[in-house]
Amino acid sequence: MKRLLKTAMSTAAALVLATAAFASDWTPPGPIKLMIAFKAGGGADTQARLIAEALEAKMGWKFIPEQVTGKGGVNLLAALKDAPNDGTTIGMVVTESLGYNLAAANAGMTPADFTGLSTTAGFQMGVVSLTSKGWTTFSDVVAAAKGGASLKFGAMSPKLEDIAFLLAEAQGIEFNIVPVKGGKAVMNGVNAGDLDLGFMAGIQGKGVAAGDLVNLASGLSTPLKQTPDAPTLADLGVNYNADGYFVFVGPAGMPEEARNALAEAIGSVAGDENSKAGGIIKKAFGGAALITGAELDSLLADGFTGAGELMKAVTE
Amino acid sequence: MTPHSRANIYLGLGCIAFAALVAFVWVPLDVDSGLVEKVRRRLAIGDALAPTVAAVFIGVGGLVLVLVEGRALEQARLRFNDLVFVALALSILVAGFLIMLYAGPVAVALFASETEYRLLRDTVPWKYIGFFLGGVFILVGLITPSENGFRLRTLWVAIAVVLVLILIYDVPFEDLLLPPNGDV
Repeated sequence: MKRLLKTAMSTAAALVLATAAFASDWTPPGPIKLMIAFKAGGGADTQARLIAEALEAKMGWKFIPEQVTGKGGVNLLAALKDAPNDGTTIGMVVTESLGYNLAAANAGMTPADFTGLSTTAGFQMGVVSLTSKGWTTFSDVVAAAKGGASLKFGAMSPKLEDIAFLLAEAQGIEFNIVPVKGGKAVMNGVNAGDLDLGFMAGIQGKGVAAGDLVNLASGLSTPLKQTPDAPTLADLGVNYNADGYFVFVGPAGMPEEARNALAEAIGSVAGDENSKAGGIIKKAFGGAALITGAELDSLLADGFTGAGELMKAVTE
Repeated sequence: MTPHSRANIYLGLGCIAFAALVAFVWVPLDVDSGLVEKVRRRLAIGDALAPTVAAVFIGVGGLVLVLVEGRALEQARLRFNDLVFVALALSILVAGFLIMLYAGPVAVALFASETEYRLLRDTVPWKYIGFFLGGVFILVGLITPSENGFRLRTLWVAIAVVLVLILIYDVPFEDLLLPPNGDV
């Protein structure tokens, strides 16, 4: 029995090693088109481009980044779905793109039409405003709205628009919800005074640290790393949250060796805090969160099937 | 100019037909939401409203051309030669874009058949073949009729212009692709 176990163990180890060697042997057959679902200069764009830059230097691969924005990543997914699945076309979206946004778009696509490669970081989703507004907690926002102020709330995806709506409803106030393309656009709008407050997924970190911006609430199921005292959505009476990750995906049916090699390469850069990409991820999102393989598959599938509940909550 | 021209009527009918096509075929096929829709328990403007309003304006413009301006004295007259010119210019552009799109893949199929064009779209000289040949063809094709015949000088000018475009838009930028390479 012991012997059998030993043989099984060494066979398994050999298989794992063989797969790892296979993965690291893989090289893309040509330049990799890297589609990015959010506006240039935002959190997703910055890390995607820095990861590509680092992989070009480290692996000798060639990336051609391209913005394919709109509909919270669904436009990118539509473009990616029928692209060649040999690892030469990948996209940077967020888990929500393949979950709520894909379900809401009703575009005939499901997460099964894509191959999840690796997440890079979890959102640090905050409800953020300018410090100069004078608001220090979310209850100040509620007081302002109840005092008759019309508040413009920026959100970069349909899911976040729904959550902003439910947040206002739970507090007995109303927001003028403004859809924008990416958290960077929310930040620009807030900084320019075009928006009073809005969701930002981590890009606010520097501004909050500098004292220019303030995290009024956490959009997550957990407190924000940077502002742990800010109330969560659940504290504010909302049963939904904006938990999510930045994620690289490819078209369905990518060969295992390509999937593993790409995931491994992305993880090696995103998780290295000494690299530019890893440094930014550490600064904005508190460090890398690398989910790959079957765990990523089920994360994406669950996000899609669970999307209906929130949709129902805002329509019924 | 001639009092017998019916150009406004033709143009007006064309506008009405296009407006009907947009409002009744294009918008319903391409846009999921209606003119208005219920979003988060409130009525909101649907994605179909703006293009439908645009179609209404085009249609009303067409009606004005037919009903009010249809018999106007001062109307441009459409001559056969004008149509020939438009058809020629469009054909040159279409042929030029087809050359731009397929010259590279054809060259790869002939001279590097072990791989495919998509994988060479960022590799010299393959990435320039389509843009260069298509660009030169379009420029020579558009200049030649206006000069009443082909001159060798036109070819040199076209080649120089396309090379300058490559120098400006491709050489300094690592991540920028010339047409058609972003779409292959």
